[in-house]
Amino acid sequence: MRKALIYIVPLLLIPAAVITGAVIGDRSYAAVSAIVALLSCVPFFLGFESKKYSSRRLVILAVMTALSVAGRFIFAPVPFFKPVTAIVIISAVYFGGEFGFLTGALSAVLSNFYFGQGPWTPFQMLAWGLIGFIAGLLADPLKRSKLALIIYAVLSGFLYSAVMDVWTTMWADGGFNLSRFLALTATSLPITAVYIVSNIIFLLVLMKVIGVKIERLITKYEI
Amino acid sequence: MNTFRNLHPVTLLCCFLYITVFSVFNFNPIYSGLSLCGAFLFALVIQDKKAVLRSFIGYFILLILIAVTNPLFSHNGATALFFINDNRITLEAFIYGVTLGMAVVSVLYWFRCFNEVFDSEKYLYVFGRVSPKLALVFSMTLRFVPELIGSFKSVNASQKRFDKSRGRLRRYLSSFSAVIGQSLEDAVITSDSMNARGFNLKKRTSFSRFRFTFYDAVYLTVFTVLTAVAAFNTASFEYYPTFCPPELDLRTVIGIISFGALAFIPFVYEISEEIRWKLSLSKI
Repeated sequence: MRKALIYIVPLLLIPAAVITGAVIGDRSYAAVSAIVALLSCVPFFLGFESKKYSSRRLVILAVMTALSVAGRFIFAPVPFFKPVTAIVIISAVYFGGEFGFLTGALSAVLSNFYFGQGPWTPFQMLAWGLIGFIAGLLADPLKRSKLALIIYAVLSGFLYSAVMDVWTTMWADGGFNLSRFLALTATSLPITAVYIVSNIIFLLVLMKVIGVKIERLITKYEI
Repeated sequence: MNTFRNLHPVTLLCCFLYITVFSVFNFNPIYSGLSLCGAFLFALVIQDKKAVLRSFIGYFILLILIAVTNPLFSHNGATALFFINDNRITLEAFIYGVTLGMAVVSVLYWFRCFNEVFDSEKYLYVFGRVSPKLALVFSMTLRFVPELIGSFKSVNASQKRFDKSRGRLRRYLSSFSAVIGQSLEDAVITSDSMNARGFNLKKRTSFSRFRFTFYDAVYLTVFTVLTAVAAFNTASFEYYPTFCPPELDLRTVIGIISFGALAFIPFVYEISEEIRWKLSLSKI
């Protein structure tokens, strides 16, 4: 059943949602995009349930997620400094892409317990999840070179704000309007810049520190 | 008083899901207005009245902002009000913006109510049905977050005494990494303890304090029927090229009434419970 769902969701449910939106009318992009964002997270969560995730990996997933959520509170005195992206990338690099996706998506849901759930939650889940998943694919270069890490930090900052700007455009416009999207991107550029700088700082400082700890954990307990 | 939250999580989830999805899919000033009124009144009853009224100013500004900016980005529509740099500012685009603003603000209000009504225990219950492992990770994370913040505070306090020369950000980062090391080690011990208590065994049961009662079934049916009736009798609005409201025939009226009933049930439920409570007090 679960295996079937992994194929049913991307091949049937997502097209069904898009077609329903197209039939109902041209003003339902916002809702359709939220549903599609949510559905695209489903295969990862299904894989999580069906695979043999040991209890150690489960608890470490919980700790990494909790670290990124708690980081949002801990660094609250320093404006726009949020370690979420950095921690998602680090856990993806050391535990694999799927693990990274789950850390990112769960961080979005769980931090919104404190900061408020809203129609933006699926987009945050997808944005952070994708950042984690791609980081997992690029694990080797990210581990080895600092330059790759910096480039990825910059790109993930852009990816996150682009996804969130798409969300805002959808909701403020009822559809996708390129000129509004560009206007939004331009106005959010300073915040994106601060965000990118914080990503770089967190990654450069934490990557090595956490990396050593995780590798020690992996060899010590054979995770 | 908050009694609506005592309904079963599944009933509550369906109620909010039906209303929000319907409000965004049916793009229509009447539906958006009804949804906004229902959400606002419900928020007023279940939350702090002053906070809700204060928040209304912010949401109202958002509504106006969406209504005003829409004509700037969309130049469809036949009735031109005036021109800015050869761009037509049309009445239709403005009406479209107002409707959109109402829809967005109503959804934001519904989410506000949802956050109030649907606490983390209800999330755990719903997720636990779909994926027990996910629910486990959820509850562990929710427990870890305050623990990590607490241990960060104590580490940070001692580091502050220990080395005064470093800046705040550097101290925060080093305290944070100390907390990470500590919590990762603890995680492995937690998982060993879980295994020792039979985590991977097949027959595990879980306790939940939610029971699906007769009333839950009644309300779930009412919500579903109302949504279905409203969905089959939607009134379609045309905005472009000219604004034309739907004819008020029996079908559209039925659709509007059933959606209105759906949007106002949470508020009416809450208010009627409060009145019953007050009446029972006066008898004593």
